[in-house]
Amino acid sequence: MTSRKKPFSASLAQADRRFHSLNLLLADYEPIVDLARDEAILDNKQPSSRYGSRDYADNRFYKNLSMPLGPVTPGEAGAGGASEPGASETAPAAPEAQAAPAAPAAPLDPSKYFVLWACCLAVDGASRSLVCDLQRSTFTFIPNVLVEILELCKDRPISAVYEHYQHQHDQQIDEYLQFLISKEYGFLSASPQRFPAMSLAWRSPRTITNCVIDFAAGTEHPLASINEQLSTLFCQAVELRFFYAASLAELSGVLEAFVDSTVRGISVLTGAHPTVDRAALELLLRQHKRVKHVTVHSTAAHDEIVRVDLHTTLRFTSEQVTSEACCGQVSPRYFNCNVEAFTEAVEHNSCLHRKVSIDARGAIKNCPSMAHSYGQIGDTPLLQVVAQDHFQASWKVTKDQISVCQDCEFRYICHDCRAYVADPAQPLSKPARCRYNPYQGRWE
Amino acid sequence: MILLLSSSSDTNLDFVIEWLTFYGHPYLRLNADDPLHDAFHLALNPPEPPRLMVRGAEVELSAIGAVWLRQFGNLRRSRYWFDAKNRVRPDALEQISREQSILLGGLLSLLSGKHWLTHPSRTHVNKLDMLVQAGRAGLVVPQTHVINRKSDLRALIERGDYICKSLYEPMFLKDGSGFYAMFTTKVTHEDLELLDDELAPSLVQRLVPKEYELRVFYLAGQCYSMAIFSQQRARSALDFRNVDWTDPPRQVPYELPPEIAEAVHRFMTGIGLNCGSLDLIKAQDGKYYFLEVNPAGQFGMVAFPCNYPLYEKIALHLIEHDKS
Ligand code: SF4
Repeated sequence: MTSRKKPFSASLAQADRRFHSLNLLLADYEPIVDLARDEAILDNKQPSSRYGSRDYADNRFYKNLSMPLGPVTPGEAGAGGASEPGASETAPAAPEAQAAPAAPAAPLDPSKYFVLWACCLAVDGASRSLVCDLQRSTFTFIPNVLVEILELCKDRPISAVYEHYQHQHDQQIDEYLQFLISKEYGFLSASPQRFPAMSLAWRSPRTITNCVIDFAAGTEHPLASINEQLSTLFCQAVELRFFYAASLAELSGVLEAFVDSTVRGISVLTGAHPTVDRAALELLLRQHKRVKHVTVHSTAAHDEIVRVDLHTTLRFTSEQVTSEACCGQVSPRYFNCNVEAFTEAVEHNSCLHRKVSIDARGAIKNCPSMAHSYGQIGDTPLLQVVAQDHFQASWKVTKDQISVCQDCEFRYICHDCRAYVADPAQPLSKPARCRYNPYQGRWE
Repeated sequence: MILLLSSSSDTNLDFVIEWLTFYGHPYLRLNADDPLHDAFHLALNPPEPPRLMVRGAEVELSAIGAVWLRQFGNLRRSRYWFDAKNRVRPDALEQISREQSILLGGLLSLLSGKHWLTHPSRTHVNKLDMLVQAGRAGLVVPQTHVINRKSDLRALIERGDYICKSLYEPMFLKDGSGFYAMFTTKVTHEDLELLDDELAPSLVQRLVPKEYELRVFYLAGQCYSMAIFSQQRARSALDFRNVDWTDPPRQVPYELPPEIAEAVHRFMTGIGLNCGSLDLIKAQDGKYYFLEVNPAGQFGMVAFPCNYPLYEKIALHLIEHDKS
């Protein structure tokens, strides 16, 4: 705050300064760092007659369907917190190893309370636990005993926590708490009653928040009607998945149907087609501001991630996505560590809740990979399907009911899969494509 | 029916509209710039009751029970202004904008008997008056001066640390490939060199060393508060708006001490506001200082990080008063 680079007054003649007020004279010059980015933010607007806004900008769109929220560039791996399966092996299960490099901090004042920030939540697992930082979308492993200590910290000062363990572990407790403070997961307070826990209630007025629409070559969906119906349900996010190489003209024809919509974010997954190159896609993104992510699959050995602007990414991958059977992977890349996703997972299914899907043959389903169809999109209204108890039953399946997952520290940030389960005879068994073993704390 | 009066760029309304739909309650959204785009007809033929037609449909004025008023105006941020500014002479545009504000004012007076969430006479507050009123309601306010002589300013900063801020809403002055940002700034001795002996009347306040900052969304007697640990970052230490969003300070739910919540309630009732956002500081001296109140605050910044259901609360408040 002290070094003033270029105040407004410096741009004025001395004699003119007296005509100005102090706050104007001291206003500091800030160069626009990234004009293109700032304009993209201002420009991130699309109309919706449903709301009566002439345009709106909204990036509160957390069901990032086809785009993993994990690291988008290799360098960001650590910052995202969601390390690749292999990498989590090296993450220390006990914090000492990480805390060690920090200079020995001053001893904690034992008369104070240790308060975990309300946005940082401890989740216990069978072999280790997590602190999920829902504000910064990161997580850190902690030993299970620390969850117990944190529980005690909720209603007593640190001195009483020492006492609880008969002063056998004062130093260890200090080290743990210092570690959490150094990571900015918690702080000391003399008035913890001022810092209540955050409510974990998930409330939404929208009947449907997200929708998956699949396309195979030759699929003809009544898109205008789908958009109209989804807007009536206040749907926010749509994922369009093309299991073949759609041309640019086809893609833009499909997106045209969503020009006036309550949908705030669209992600597109499509096969590599000669007309779908980076330049063409960037142009497409400029025309259709709702499109936040495009993933081009089945490229000839082309893997690239392009950040078009703050809200928009473009991804090329040689991975092949030829049918709905390619879904259901579980990996830290897909973990969703934010307030909306975490609170939703506490009482609902983290994949299927408030989702409706239309498969490549036009069948209305919970998920395109599931067998049960509730009717064809051409003749069955979505509103009628999504209101059915049977349709909503899978919305209520939480990770706490699923075997193995219920013992896993990732259970509120990991998205579920009910289409491919480990033991088809046991509907409540864990996702088949998860390689994590919470009892060992290892990806296998 | 609930009437929502705002501007077409206010996305807060979208969220409230979703809740009104969820509860199956009828509403009409009217944006300040709608009359400049959509079919609009107001007919005044006393003693007949006034008639209003929007987008070809008659609006039953007598069926309106509650009105939510937010940023109903601000033509300069509308799509109309954007389209018209290069096609209409500046003086003519100025005239149209004044005519438009008479129309909006007239519409508001047609609705005078309704339940208002923010009464039209309360949408603009005076920073200086608010300090006086807050003090009267029992809130502590920072020592404040309005000065126009460098000598007075020097005398102040020789006695302690002072900040300056704008008497009105701060603004950004665009210049080349950047802008001058009017943030709350500490006044230093070097700054005095930049001044003439005289200056336009300017607001100066005693710097209150913060423990943390508080944003309070007040709605009909309830306080929904958030603590911001802006002291964690040098950039945002004096002005939270100057925050680095890639590494934001902690923002967590906060429970005001009952006597502060009561004083906030007394203050808001006293100035006739049933809704608004307040800025407070929990100071290192242990006291809670009132800084400002904003009748049309961005409460999304409190609702989302703290998981407060504020959009639903507003919808329910409107529904309740629309019925009675
Ligand atoms: S065990 Fe369950 S909760 Fe844990 S990572 Fe696997 S699928 Fe996710």
